[in-house]
Order: sequence, then C-alpha cells, then structure tokens
Amino acid sequence: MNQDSQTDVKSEHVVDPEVWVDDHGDVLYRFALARLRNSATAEDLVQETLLAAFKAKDRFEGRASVRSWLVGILKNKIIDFFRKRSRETSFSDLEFMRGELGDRMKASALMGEHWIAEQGPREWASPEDSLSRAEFWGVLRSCADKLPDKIAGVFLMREVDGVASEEICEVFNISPNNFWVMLHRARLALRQCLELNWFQAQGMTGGGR
Amino acid sequence: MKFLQKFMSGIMPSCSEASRLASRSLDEKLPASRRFALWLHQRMCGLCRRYGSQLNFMRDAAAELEEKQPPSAVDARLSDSARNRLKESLSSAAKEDK
Repeated sequence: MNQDSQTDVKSEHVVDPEVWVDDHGDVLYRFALARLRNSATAEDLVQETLLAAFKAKDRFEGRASVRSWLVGILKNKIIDFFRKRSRETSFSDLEFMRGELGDRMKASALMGEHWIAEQGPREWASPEDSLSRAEFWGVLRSCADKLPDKIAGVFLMREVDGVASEEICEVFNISPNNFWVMLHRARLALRQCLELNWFQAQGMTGGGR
Repeated sequence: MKFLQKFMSGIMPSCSEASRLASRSLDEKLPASRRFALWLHQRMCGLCRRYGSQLNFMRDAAAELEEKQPPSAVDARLSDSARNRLKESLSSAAKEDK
C-alpha cells in the first residue's frame, strides 16, 4: 500500500524531464544567476542539475516537491562550481567597505574607536512590521544585489542558504579570518543600504541616539 | 590615566571591535572573554546595542529572503536557445536510458 502510493507520487511528478525545463527551468536559472552573476555559467549549472536529477530520478522519494528537490541539487552544483574555481580572494573583495567604519567613528583615548553619534546606526521603528511588506523584500534583495560578487556569494550561502561556515571557507578557498571580514563587511553594507533605502525612505528611523 | 586607559582597552572593546564581535557572534560561539567583552560593551553603549539587534533582525530576514523575494532578476528567463539545449540534452539522456 505504502509502496504503491509512493510509486504514484513518482509517476505523477517525474514523468517527463522535459516538462521540468518548462516548469522549473526559469526558477532554477534565477536561483543560479543570483549566486553566480553570470548567465552562461547559470545555464550550464541548470543543465547539469537537470541531467543529474534525471539520472537520479529513481531516488526521488516524492517527500519534497520536485522543485525543492531540484533546487537542492542545484545548490550542490553551485558549491562544486565555486570549489573548482576557488579563485584567489581579489583585492576588491577585501577592500569593499574597508573605510566604512572609519568614516562613522572617531578615536578617543579612553574608549578607542567609537561611533560619532550622528553617523551611528539610526533607530529602526518596529522593524518586524516591515517583514510583512512586499516592498521591504524587494529593497532587501536589491541591497544584496549591490554586494560585490564574491561577498554576495559568501553572504547568500551563509545567511540565505544556511551552508556551514567551514564549508564556505573551503569552497571559496578563504581563511576563516577573511570569511569573518567578508561577512562583517556584507552586513555593514546591507545594514546601511536597508537603513537608507527602506527605513529612512519610509520615514521609519528615529534620531541618532 | 595611563593605567585607566590600559584597563579600559583590556576589558572594554571599542565600538569598531564590538561591531566585529557582534557580526562574528552570529556565526560561532565567541570565546568567553570576548562574549563578556561584547556584552559589557553593549550594556554601556546604546548604539552598539542597536547595531547588534539590527544584525539579528537582518539575519532573520535573510533566512526568509529566498521565499519572500526570489532572486532579483525576476524577469530573467532562460533564453529559448538554452531551453532547447536543455531539452535536447535531456531527451538524449532519456534515449540512452532506454
């Protein structure tokens, strides 16, 4: 009984891999494009994903949807791609946002570098309410898009896809220290971008203190 | 004064150090001394407390980003040639399969 119903699910969803191209091709492509920033590579990885999925179709258990199964395969393809490429960390990746805090902080003898009040983070009025606004998500996405390629790759893998830190370091061939620096800079940039383009633009910021 | 400076910088991180620690604490458990230093700093510094809670907010938001706003190029689509290429490669794989 149990077996039969599983086979049903399989035959219902995994009948024709060409249908996958029509049903899921664009979604997979956008997923890859957001992480790879290169349409040719994104297409290649979608192709590899579909071929791999086709070969493994008997192992698809019908527990998840076909789409999330395919996205799962694609995620691994993307990780493999970064691992193979594992370029040197470029100068611009580590330069990104480098002076950012310096502009917003000043040194004092007793406290070291500390925020200049007007330049520090503004208060965000009830940020949780923003989560239910569609425009908020558009702004967050466009802020993520503005990050330099590699920083964006590290950030999306860590925070959006939930890949383990050690694995990201290995995939991008970066030291843990560079990993912290890149995430720190990504968060600085996103925080600032959100503050400016969402909270401030919506009149939802409080004073400097 | 010298002593006080040394004492302060020993136990109390600066705001720039605190912002690094706040970011890092999202990804791993900090050593106890750093955790305490960050906590102490945030008790005394409203701006860093705010910075920390904004990072937490962004972390929660990022976890939902994929679902709420799929990758930005919402209108990006596979080109027709890519689509055909995909279908061809799949159908030739299907033939081999049989």
